[in-house]
This record gives sequence, C-alpha cells and structure tokens, in this order.
Amino acid sequence: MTETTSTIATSPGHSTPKKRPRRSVTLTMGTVVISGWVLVTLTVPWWAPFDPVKDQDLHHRLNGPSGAHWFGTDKLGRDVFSRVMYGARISLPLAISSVLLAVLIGCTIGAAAGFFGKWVDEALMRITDVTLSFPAMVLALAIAAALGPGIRNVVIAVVLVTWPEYARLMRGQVLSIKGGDHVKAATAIGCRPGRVFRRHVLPFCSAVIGVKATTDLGVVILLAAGLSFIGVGAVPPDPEWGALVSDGRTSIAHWWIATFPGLAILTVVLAFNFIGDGLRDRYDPYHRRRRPKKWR
Amino acid sequence: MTDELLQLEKLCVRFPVRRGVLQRTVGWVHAVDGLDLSIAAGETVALVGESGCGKSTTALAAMGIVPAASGRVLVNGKDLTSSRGDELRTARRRMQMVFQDPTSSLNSRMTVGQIVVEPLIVHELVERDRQRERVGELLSTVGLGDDAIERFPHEFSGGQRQRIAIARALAAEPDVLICDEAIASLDVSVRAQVINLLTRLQSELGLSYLFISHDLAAVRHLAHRVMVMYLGKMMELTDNETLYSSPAHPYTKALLSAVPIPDPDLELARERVILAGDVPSPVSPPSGCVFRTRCPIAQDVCAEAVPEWRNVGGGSAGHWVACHFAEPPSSVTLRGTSIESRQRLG
Amino acid sequence: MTAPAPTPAIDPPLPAGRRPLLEVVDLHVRFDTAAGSAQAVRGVSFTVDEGETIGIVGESGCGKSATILSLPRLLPPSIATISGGSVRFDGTDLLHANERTLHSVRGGEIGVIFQDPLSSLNPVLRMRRQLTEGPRQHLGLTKSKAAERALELLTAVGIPDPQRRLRQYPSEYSGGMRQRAMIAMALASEPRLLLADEPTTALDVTVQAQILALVRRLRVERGLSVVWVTHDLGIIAGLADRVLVMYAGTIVEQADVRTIYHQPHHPYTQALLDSIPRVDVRRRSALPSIPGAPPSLIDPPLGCPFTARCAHRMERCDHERPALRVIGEGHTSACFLDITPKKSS
Repeated sequence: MTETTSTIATSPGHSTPKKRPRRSVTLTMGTVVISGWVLVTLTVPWWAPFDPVKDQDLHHRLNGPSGAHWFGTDKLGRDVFSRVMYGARISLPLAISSVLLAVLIGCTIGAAAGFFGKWVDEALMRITDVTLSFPAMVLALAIAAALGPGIRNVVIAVVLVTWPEYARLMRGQVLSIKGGDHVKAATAIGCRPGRVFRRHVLPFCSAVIGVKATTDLGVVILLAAGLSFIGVGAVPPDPEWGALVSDGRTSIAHWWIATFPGLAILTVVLAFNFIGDGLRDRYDPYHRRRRPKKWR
Repeated sequence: MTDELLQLEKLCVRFPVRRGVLQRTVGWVHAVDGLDLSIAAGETVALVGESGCGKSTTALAAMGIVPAASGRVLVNGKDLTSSRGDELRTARRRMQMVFQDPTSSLNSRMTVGQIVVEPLIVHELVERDRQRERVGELLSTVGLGDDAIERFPHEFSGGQRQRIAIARALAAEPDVLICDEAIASLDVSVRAQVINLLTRLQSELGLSYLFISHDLAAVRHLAHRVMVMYLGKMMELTDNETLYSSPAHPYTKALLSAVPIPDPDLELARERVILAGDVPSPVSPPSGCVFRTRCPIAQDVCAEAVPEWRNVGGGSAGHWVACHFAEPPSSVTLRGTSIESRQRLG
Repeated sequence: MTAPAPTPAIDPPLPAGRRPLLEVVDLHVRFDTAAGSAQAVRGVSFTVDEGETIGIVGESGCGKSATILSLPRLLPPSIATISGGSVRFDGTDLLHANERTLHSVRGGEIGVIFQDPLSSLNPVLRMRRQLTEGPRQHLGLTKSKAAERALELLTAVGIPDPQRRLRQYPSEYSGGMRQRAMIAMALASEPRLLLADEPTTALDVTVQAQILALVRRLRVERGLSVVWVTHDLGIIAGLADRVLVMYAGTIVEQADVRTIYHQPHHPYTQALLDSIPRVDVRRRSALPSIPGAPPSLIDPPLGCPFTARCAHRMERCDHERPALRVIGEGHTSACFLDITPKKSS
C-alpha cells in the first residue's frame, strides 16, 4: 500500500530531508490491524471453523457466543465468527478496488483539468462540482438502487460518488506543482508536455493522493456497508459486513449478530484512518505536527 | 545583422487583472512594454532593475514560457512567437535558462544524472550508449565530479546545485544562456565561484548571456552592455563603462548611488540620491514617464508626454535613454558616484 | 565533539566609568535538526556600547542570525537551545531572566527588526493598534498620547500620509513600507538597543537606501545602539562602527570598520572582501573566489573551521582551533598567522 512509497516530499521546491523513521503509535497500530485483516482474507478457508453459507444448523439457531460458536449463531444457525471472517474477503477487496478505480478516474480527470487548463478545466470541473454537490450517501443509494443489488453495483456506486474528490485534489496539486521552477525548467530544456507531466508533475502528486486514498478506504467500507444495510448492496447469502449488521438489526435481543460485524467494520475504518493520519503527518508539510518540546 | 543571436523586437507581455466573483478581466498589467534588445554572439547583456520591473518576465517571454502579447522573439533569425509545438521546442534549444533558485529549479526526485541527461534525450543529441559519458563531461565542465551522477540534488550545497542547473542548460548545446537572477540566492563566497564559472564558459564555449539581475555590482563585473528597466519600460541602454561612469537617466543615477560600496571611507564621502516612496503599482502606472513620481528632476512635461527612446551619443554602441532631460553624457557629471571622484577619495 | 576553546571577551578597554550596554560572553546555541544537533553558535563574545553600531557579517549558516535572535531569546525553543554563556543587557541577565522581565525588555528597551516584516506585524490588527500597544504597555502612555506618538513615528520613518496609513492593515502596505512600519514599531517604546536581522535583504536597493538613511539618522538623533546582521559587506561599510566577522558559528575577526576593510587580518575576511564584485570599480580579471563551502556544524572540524578553504593553511590549523587574540588596537583575530598580510587590492 501507500506506506511503501519511497522518499516523498510534497513540495518539490524544498530539498527532501533524508527519510527518517518517525515513530508514530497510531500508524503502527493501524498497520498491524490492517495486516491482520489482510492475513485473514488470505488464509480464512484453512482455519475457519464453519462454512459461512452452507453450514446451516437450524437446531442451533440464534445461540449466543459460546466455545463452539465464538460470536454465536444467526437465525439460520450459521456461525457468526466464520461469517465475519469470510466477510473480510468481500469488504476489503470491495473497498480497495473501489478506491483504486476512484483514484484512477478522479486523478485522470483532475490532472487533465489542472494540466491543460482553460476550457478543459472549466468543463471537467463543472461536472465534478455537480457530482460533489450531492450528499455522497444519497447519491450512492440512488445509483445502487437504479443498478440493482450486487457487489459489482456497489463498487460502481461508490466509485461514482468518490471520484470527484480525487479530481479536485489532483487538480489543485497539479496546478501548484505546474507553477514551480522545475516545471518551467523542464519546458525550457525542451521536454514535450507529456514528459513534463510524467516526470516533473506526477511524482509530486502521489503522496497527497495516497494519504487521501488510505483514509478513504475506511470511508468506502462504511459506505458499502451502509448500502448493504439498507438492502441495495450485497445479495443475502454473501456475508458482506453491512449485510451482516443488517441481519442483526431485526432482533436487538440477539445482540451478537450485529455487534461483531459492526466491530469488524469499526476496527478496519479506524485502522485506515490511523494509517492515513500517520502518513499525512509524515509527508504532508501543511499538517505536519510540531515535534513536542521535550522529545525522547 | 547576422551575428545577432537573440533579438527581442517591441516585446510586450501583459497579464489580466481579474476582480470580483466572476473573475472578470478589469484591466491589464503591462509587465513588459515594448522592449527592444539584441544580443550578439559572445556578448553579455544585462537587464537590471528593481522587483516588478519586468526583467524576469522578459526572460520567460523570450523562452516562450510566458506568451508575448505582441512583438517578436528571434533566435538565429527564427521567430519563436509564431512557432508552436515541436517547432518551438527545437528552435529554442539554442537558448537555455538558469533560474534563480536551484533548489526549486531541479527536480528533487531525480538524480543529478537524470537531470543533466534529460536535454540529451529530448533533443536526441547523443546516442544512448554515449549519454553517460557526455553527462560526465558536462559535470566536469561545471566543476563537479563523476560521482555526482548517482546522487540527488539535496545532497549538494547551493553553489553546487547551481552548477548542476548550468550543466543541464549546457547539455542542450545552447548559444544563448538566460541567467535569471542566477547568482542571487548564493552566498557571497560561492557567488564569486559561479560568476567565474560563467565567465570561463563564455570564453571557452563562446556563449552569449542575457544576465538578469538586481545586483548592479555583479553586472558591472560581467556585462558588456546593460539595460535598465523600470515598471516594464526601457530606461537606459549603453555599454558597461558608459553606464557606470556617466549614467544619463535619473533612475540609473539613483540606482547606482543606492548600491552600497564595501569601503567605509567611500561610503562616508558618497553623495546619495535617495528616492522617495516605492515603485508604483503596475496596474495603474503613472502617465507620461513612469518614473516621474519618484524622479528628483521631474517637470510638468513628464506627466504629459512619454519620453522618447533616443540615442544621446557616446558609448561604444550608442547611449539610449528614455528621459526628456537626458543630456549628452559629456556634460553630465554624476557627483558622488563617478569613478574619478571616488578614486580621488580612495 | 571538540571542547570549544574558551573565548574570553577581548575588547578595547572602555573609558573609565563606562559600562557596555550589552555584554555577550561565550554564547553557545544549538539547533536540533532532523539530521542531528547543529552547533550554530560556538562561543561568541562581544559588547555593544551606548550609541555604538555593531555590524555582524557572515554567510548563511555562520550563526549570525542565531546569535542576534538568542539575545532577547527569540529563537523557537522547540528547535533551538541556548546551551551556554551569558547575555547582560544594562546589568540584567537576559538568559536567566523570567518571562516578565524578558517581556518588558523585548519591545521595550530592545527593539528587534527582522527580514520578513510580516513575522512581526499582526495581519488582522490595524497599524494604529499595533503601534500604540508597545508605548502604552512599556511607557504607560494614555491611548490618545500613544496615538499621537504613532503618528509621529510613521512620519519619522518616512511613511507618507500617516493619518490614513494608521487606519490600514499591514497587507495594504507595500514591502518597503511594511519594513518601515516594523522599524517604527521597534522604535515605538524608545528602545536603547536595536537588533536588526537582515532587515533589508528582501528589499530593492532604492528602498534599502531609504531604510539605511533612516537608521543612520535615528542613530544620531536618539543615540541608539544598533546590532546589524547582514551578509552584505557594503551595508556594513556605510553603517557600522565596529564589525564582527563570523564563520561556522564563531567570530573569526573583530575590529573597527576601517581596520576590517583596509587591514583585514583573518584570511577569511580578506578572501570575502576580495571575492565581492564592486559597483565602483570594474575588475578585468577573474574574481578571487573561496574554494569549497563552509563546514557542517553538526560535526564541526576539530581545528580552525576555515582551514579547508584557507590559502595560508598551516599544519597546526588542522587540529588546533585558534582563539581570538589581540593583534592591534581594538583588533582581534582567530588566526595563527603572525604578520598582517598585505592589503590586497
């Protein structure tokens, strides 16, 4: 993910200080949690006690947490623990692919607007503004409802509501970098516009976009879960986290059905936010915190 | 004239002034207003003036980075202002630029090798297998070792970075080098090194310089001819010796007398022309002569008529001044700043 | 790390009964940077007399700004530590003074002007408010008296139409005017000492000439003491009575202004003077330049800091740091060279 990006300076003008390890508790915590979840998605079939869909045991419906069913069972007698663990295999790829697509679309549009300027900028930014003016959840709901339920449609809905933010961010970034001396210098030595953009503008945008994308991973998981919760997202047997929470909403007495998937969402969203904040502290000079007076 | 490498003819650059919610254009700032200048092979022409006088905009307009509103930029007789795309890129290869601050003009994500090789790649000047060798040559020309190739700009001091920027400009094999305040950000002791480097490159490679600077002392050392600008307009143009010993424009006189001299006795004995106030806003420049609001000898006529750009005679290639009251230099003695009086004092 | 050689204050003997206004002894300042701890000032000692103007000259990173800003303790404590020495202003120990004393001295008896006027002007307050605050606090003037004084001050520093200007915000001033307004603010509480940290570096020469003329006048009119920090040897020549040349965190030479310019002793001072182009004489040959760059202050050299770039380098320079020693009347230099090298022309 983004934390592997090499030396990053957000401002091209200043010399990059040597990359220094700056201890950040939240960044480490976030990374540990996300690594854990990634490990879960990769290995869950080998150790999950039950199958999340097929293993229905109607004799043990709505059982509370116990030794056999750590997170209890739902109204069809399925093991909530296995369903939550398998749910990560849906929610995480869904979030990552949505964000990647949104970054790709948003950044292309934003970069075109910022780099070419004039009427291209005007046209693209008006479209962006129109999309941004809708509340994200409402727009996503409308799109998902129109497309019908299904994981793929959730991705489409989420991408359609999140790309404009990347377009705005990218445009601003490109505009500020485009005015820099090193870009003028590249033009002066005779680089074609394409090369100027690729070699002298793009590398300085990655940090800011990366930070936003990381934080957004959490937001997107929440958004997708919200859509599934309302019923326009994942189709019933799929153990998508939002759908799991939705399952439990009808019977508050059986608190474990909604609580555990809810906690899963909470940990992932928090962890992505921690990572995003940590990365921003490290790479973004505008938000860089002053080092405490007495450090060490 | 065939030996004129770079010619700026009636060059004008203007920027829109936008106001209000709709960002409507309410006026124009004439950053450069009718500049005429030509540079011959092996010549150094300096453009001096205070901030906002349009000297840096002139450089960017000459390079085609900022579009000219009118006028022409000719490089080896080829008009850059009417060229586009690849034609423009090829035409202006013969003119390269060194910026004020090497920290911002060098891409901090690229190694020195990648930076210096770029002009070779984009203009296909050297075959691929000879590129590294050529970069080494260029670096040694500016006084840096081969080991610099793998390193990043931030590992170098300010002076060394400016050398890297010069090496990059030289890679395009230019005839004219535009130095936009190229020594302004350097420290005193390093500045002399870079000045000497520029002088050496001129004698070795026969380069011409358009040397843009506010540092009148460095210009005195480097330039063959000097043009003084104020608020986008030409004030005075003549050869180095004439300008510094018998300036004809009151602005030039004030400018020269404001430059401190590193000698306490001379400083004490100097007669200073201290101008009142600041440079007026370029959005609404004064009528007539733009300098009249701060000029110690301004008369009514200065507000009414724009002074003609005329040759008052003297100097090796003429002495051009835009002032109603400029006299032939023989009768002008600039007390306090003239060389003779200073040498008597020293 | 080397134990810095003790550098006692070697100053021309003062006339009997006169005490220096400011006395700095063996000042050390350390900057904690990402790359390590930099010893920005390594044992600087000097005095400033009543009515005297001291010029501190050196290249960037030589510690000149750190020196002057640490006197009223204006360096950000998060990165800078004053790690040793003493600063006495009119008998008050500034380094150990409490916030209250410090506050009354700063902006009261000591005025400070910076390179960037916006750093000391508040963008959301009108100039009248900013110019009256000091005098009301430090001199106990009434509001109307202070306003009268603010008007006088703006007139004194040469700001046209001061009545109107007092009602404006700093953003409505031009660069030169802001600088003058900052000087007016520094002078508002009738300071006895003005500390100037490269205040004209960002200004155009004609505006710089105005500011310098103003300071020269104020010095005579008010008997102001001034410490002026700059890299421009030209400014110092026309302004200072005495000059300190700094290099790599230390004072390498100190003398009255004529001696520094006409009989410099330290090879660095000589080389510096030689390497600057002058507006009054045109040199036909190449400028003599100083090879290399100043040493890193994170791990400063053991011996003389200038040795790597010095034309008169001797063997002992590499491992022994020369202390400032008296080589003439009121002239000290941190160099082992015995003879005063001939004045270069």
